[in-house]
Amino acid sequence: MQPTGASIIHINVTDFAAAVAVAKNPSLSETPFVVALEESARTVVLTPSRRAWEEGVRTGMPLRLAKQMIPSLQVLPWDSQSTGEADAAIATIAQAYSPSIQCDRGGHIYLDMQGTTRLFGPVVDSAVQIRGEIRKKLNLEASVAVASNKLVAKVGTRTTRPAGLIQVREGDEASFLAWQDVSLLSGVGSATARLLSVAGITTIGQIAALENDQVLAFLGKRGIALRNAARGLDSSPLQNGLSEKRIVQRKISFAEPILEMDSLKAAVVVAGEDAALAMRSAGLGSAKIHIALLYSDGRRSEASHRTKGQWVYDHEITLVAWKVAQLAASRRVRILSCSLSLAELSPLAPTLDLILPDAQHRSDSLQQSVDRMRHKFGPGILTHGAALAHA
Amino acid sequence: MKSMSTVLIGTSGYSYTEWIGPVYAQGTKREDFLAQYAQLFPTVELNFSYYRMPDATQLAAMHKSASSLQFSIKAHQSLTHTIDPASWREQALSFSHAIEPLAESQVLSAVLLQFPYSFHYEVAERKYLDSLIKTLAPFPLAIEFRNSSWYNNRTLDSLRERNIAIASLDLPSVKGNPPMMDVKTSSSLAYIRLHGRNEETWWGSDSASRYDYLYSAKELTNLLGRIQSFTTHTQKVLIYFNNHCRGQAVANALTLYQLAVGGKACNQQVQALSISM
Repeated sequence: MQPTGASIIHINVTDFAAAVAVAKNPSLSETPFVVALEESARTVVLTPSRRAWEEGVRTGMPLRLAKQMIPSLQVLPWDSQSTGEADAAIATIAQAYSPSIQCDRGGHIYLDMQGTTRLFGPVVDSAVQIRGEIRKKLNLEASVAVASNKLVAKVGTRTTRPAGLIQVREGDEASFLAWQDVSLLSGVGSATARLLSVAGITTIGQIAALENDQVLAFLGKRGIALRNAARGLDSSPLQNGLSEKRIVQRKISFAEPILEMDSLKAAVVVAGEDAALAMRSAGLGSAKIHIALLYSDGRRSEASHRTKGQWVYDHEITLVAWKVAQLAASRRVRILSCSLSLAELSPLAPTLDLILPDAQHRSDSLQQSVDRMRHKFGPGILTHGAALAHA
Repeated sequence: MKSMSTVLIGTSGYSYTEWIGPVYAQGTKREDFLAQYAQLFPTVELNFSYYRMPDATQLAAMHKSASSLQFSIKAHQSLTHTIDPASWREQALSFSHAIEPLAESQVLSAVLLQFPYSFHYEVAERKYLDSLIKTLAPFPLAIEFRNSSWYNNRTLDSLRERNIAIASLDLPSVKGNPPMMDVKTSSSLAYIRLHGRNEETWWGSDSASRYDYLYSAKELTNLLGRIQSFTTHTQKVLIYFNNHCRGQAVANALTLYQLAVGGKACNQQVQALSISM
């Protein structure tokens, strides 16, 4: 076969945490179970096993409801070590095929295979080989897709999950997307799906067919991006490297060394908001916040905090960052600069609505409105009151 | 525990006079083709049934002449290409009666419903397909779509609910062909059709030229990777080579078998056995 021009591979291990649990303990393969954080206030299913999924259990479902559906349901804790090791192992396999990879945690990885056909043959053959290696070495089933861009490749793996293969030729993106369910398109969350459903729009092709004025009237300005995505248009490059090894970092250098905690808090809030906006724009959330302070005597102090889940919103990140900063600021010495890092990044889950915030999640609503304002008028247009001390 | 699959490799059709020489011994009579074929392969996809409605006597005789063979049979064109709303049910009934002897003898592996490019994912077509599936429900079914509009998550979910295999195709990667897609939609059956990759002759030539292609060993090795993905939680995997020109399908099927058994030397008698993967 001649190269098709479609050189992006997306690998997707569906229900990753559950799949890793089964790989680690094959006796679980026929057991309905979920991965959930039972100690959290509103416990929801993070990942259902295949058997639980077949019984109707879904990601995001309250655990109480899942247990009503399956009385024998087992609940496993999130095994961050095993999932992390599996992510790293998948990345190692992928790196043998391309130097250009984007490793998003949770069993998602993109490869840009441009220029590799002479070495490895057709891109789809490489995709098959990578999937085979993941199965053989890690005992994990993956869905793989080959397309001309990340967006279409991702819809491809969502279409064929949990263990399929698809190759979408360059030029066929829109026709491939046309009959897929709208829920497969990144940016369509439950609220947008409901809105589209009311208008009788259930397929991606129906979104793609909307004219500009229809999109604006129906979905607002952000709708244009969704409509373009529905047409298979995506020029976003791969963000190379492991997502958990990527960090979003902001450094505030004070004009004069400071001693007042209010000034430090203002700096932390500004840095936190700015970093969080960049992180969300990349579709990521953070599991680790790190603060480093440089003192006027040349010494440094650092502190960090981790979560088993994910920090996404400004109010979470600035709150935690300030606590971490207070831990770091253990010395009564003037501070020259403050660095804030959001680390251990992973894709946002579940998919945030591109158009409408889900009414059930007020935080989404507020945060997305704030982000829209900042994208439009600049990061400083809206900020926390505490940050004004830094202005 | 992962369950083992039975993998059967064969060709699409067997009755080609041009195979005398490369496949069948010189002087072999047409009526002896099937028996000789059964010495090579454990399964065959019958495609004459697309052109003329088969009858039970004929299929029973074929089974008798090659009792070791598992059969897949392509549905008659009146059920897939030239559908008459007034008479298709009668045609489906005739087809069902014809294949019953194979089913009763437990040598019917699949009925292949191959729909043409003109068969779109539209409401009327979906309703028809649903009715046809119900009519042929007693038999194991596999569906091949040539129109890419069917390659969507709704189709796959519908087939999963009905435990019907969607045929995986290997075709030239040219405009107008559906995407290459492998998805398990049935726990009992996977169906793979290998049409060759002759891009130059795919459109606008006769069928002999269209399927004039010999897979390389490297391509077959990669195909094996695709096949292996079906072998977990699928009872039977059927693989048919349709690049019949000059017996290339036979050569490729034999090579694929050798690759599947790990390169062990095999004689023709061994080849006719199935593979467990």
